[in-house]
Amino acid sequence: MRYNERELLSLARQPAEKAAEILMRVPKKGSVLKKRLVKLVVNFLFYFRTDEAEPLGALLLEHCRITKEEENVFSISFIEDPDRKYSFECDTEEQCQEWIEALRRASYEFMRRSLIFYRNEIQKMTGKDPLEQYGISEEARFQL
Amino acid sequence: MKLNERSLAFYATCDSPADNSGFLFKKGERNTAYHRRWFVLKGNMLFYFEERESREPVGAIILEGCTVELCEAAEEFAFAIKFDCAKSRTYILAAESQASMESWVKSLSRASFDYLRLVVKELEKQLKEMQRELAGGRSAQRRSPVYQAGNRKIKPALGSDAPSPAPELPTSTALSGNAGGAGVLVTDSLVCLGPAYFSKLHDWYGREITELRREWLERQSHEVGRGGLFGKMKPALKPAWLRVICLRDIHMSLLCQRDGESVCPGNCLPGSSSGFLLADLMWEGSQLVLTSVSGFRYLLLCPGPCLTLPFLTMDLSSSDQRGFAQPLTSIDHCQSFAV
Repeated sequence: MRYNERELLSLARQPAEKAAEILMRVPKKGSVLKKRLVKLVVNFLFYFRTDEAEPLGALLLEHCRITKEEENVFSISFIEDPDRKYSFECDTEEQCQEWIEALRRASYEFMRRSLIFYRNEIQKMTGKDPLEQYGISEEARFQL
Repeated sequence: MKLNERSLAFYATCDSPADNSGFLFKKGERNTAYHRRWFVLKGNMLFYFEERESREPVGAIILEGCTVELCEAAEEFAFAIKFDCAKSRTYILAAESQASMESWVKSLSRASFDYLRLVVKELEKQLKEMQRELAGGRSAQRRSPVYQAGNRKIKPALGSDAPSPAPELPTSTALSGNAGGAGVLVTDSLVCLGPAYFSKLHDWYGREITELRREWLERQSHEVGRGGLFGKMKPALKPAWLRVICLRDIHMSLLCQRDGESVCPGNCLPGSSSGFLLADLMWEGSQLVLTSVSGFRYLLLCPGPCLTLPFLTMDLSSSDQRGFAQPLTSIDHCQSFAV
């Protein structure tokens, strides 16, 4: 599948929501935990070799599942192949929970649902549609 | 650079709703002819397929950071997707009608994650402010001389603790600890302890409590003859029921019901529904200590080991589910609150 790699690389250089050096293992046979610089930018998770400027890879975080595994460890898997897991081992349990929290909120789908929820709540409280000021109240993607 | 292409392809073709879809002509990169492709916009990704029925997209355009402009092209209804970075490719697309072009330009220019996040943060802020105002109004009306006199340090629960996102009303299968269902359903949604929403949650969870309570009272009526529980209790004490539900990984929401009325430690407005997010819950001897996420501590007394409280705790992070069924003494008559 073709894609605009240059733009993705540019995105990888943007300021991150969250970044840290974490041990990571990809779901490939025989792969081991390796230290990577992991960077969350919008709904992409980039991972770099710690001394390189260009990412090794990127994961689009849509329709994925973030699971807490054993202590300090969480995994990312995708809905079409739930056994294929990207594993991440953090330094502390706290760091692990923070990443899980951040990654669960990092999808477009989550943002959309949040928006619909807040819109609905505000509308119930005030009787007014808060999206009107943005001119996006008619958009199909924000309907309940 | 590797990209999770298989997942991308699945995302493109799965039946999650698309933000826009339709035929567009796409100008080739080297070969300047236009090719008719089936386009699907999902979030900040624009996928294109050879045919509408194709199983896999030919390509994807990551739209983050792009600008969309109408362009002067030989082709009618043409527009361009441009990027800021050096040497990036400009995608020239052409719609089949004025209306289609306008619809696409509109949806593509608002497709970025950043844009959506901005709007969400703004709405979140608005809602929190509204709730704070509402809580301010409520605490002015708070009666409970019992609380005021009994404890000088009482703080209002509603509004002081920053409301956090809450899930949609879970189904009973979600509550019964179906790890797959519960994990995805509850933690991926948002919760907000606004008064209207909370009362819905309260009623929903309250149904089970009402049933438990009815059973418990029936059992008690058999024991009354033997000087059962009520006999031992002071007449002022009435049974109350506490329901603690885990709504997120480590936060729990506290609901409290007493004889059909809802109360919440620290905020005793009869008939009102309220609650706060719990950070910690533990037994200290026969006392139940609750700590809210804002650090407020509430102490509930149980006069004796035979009195129990019904609560269900569910730690979603470990798919662990424990249930207890124990009635609690009336909150009104709890002897102390520590804040």
